[in-house]
Amino acid sequence: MPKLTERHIEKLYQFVQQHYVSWYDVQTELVDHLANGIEQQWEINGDITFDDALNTEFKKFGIFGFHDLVDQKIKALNTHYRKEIWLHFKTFFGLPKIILTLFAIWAFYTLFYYLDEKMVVFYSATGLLFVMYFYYTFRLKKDIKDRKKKTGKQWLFDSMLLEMGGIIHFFLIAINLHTFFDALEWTNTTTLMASAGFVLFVLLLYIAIKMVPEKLKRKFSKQNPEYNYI
Amino acid sequence: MKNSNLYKGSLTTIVLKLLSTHDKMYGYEITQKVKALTKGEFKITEGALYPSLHKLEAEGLLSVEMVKVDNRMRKYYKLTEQGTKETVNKLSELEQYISTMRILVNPKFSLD
Repeated sequence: MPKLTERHIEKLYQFVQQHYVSWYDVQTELVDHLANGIEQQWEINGDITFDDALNTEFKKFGIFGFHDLVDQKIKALNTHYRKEIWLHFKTFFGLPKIILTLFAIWAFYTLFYYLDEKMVVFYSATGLLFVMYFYYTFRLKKDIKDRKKKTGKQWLFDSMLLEMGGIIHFFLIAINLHTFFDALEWTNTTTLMASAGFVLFVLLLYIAIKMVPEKLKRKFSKQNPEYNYI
Repeated sequence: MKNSNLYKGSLTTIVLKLLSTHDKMYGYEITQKVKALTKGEFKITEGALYPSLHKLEAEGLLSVEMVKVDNRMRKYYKLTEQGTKETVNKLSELEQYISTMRILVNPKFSLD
């Protein structure tokens, strides 16, 4: 069977890039698919030019080209990320981790209950959250930049990590939480609810920026050795 | 009958079934296999196959492996343990569906 050359493969990468697929992890599968299709055409008719064969293969993806495919892949990855968060989150409500969860709620409750300057507790904890969040995004952005600089490749996987599976906007509501806490009338019930709510929020953020990315990176690196240069 | 909507709802099951009889497969291979098995009656479109594969991968039913073949990288899919269990469920659902449809489109009348 006639085979595509290295130069042809480079051309295919350029082609998918020109058709708005800039992520290497998505490009690779499309390039292989197009290459297989072109080789198949050449087996039947060796006179077809590379460009004609490529156009025929591309048309099979429909009028929107690769757009829908990429869109669906982003959705699938984001759903997977959120599902992983949920799976980890649930473990904090079973033994033995529930002890830790309840202890954290009790600790915040005690702090809120006994301290007059309740907002100091809130601002300190929120401040710590933001430091965690900014450190995570800073490290990730640096990795993405380094990876692109050294290999010229961008990965959709990294983009998903940065967006935290699309729930980044949920975490940014923490910016406005102070208005809620500031206006709160601190009875026993509201103190307990505020403590529990705050702990659950911190837990979600911790899972989303620490536990899930580490697990997904391990899996992705194993499947994609080219991702592991740093 | 080609590319009928009736097939579309079963795409996931078809992919899972094919993978259950092969150690691993890549996207193009799946399209060709289905075309060959059905003698061209059913052609899986690229726009439907890849979203389906990516969804199954995200759901943990498929695992992937990147292998260098000739001068390019190839993404192979294989069933996970969870995927193998799901294949049995999906096939059973499909068989039930076919059996129900058969009763509906070809009812056997009796005097009972």
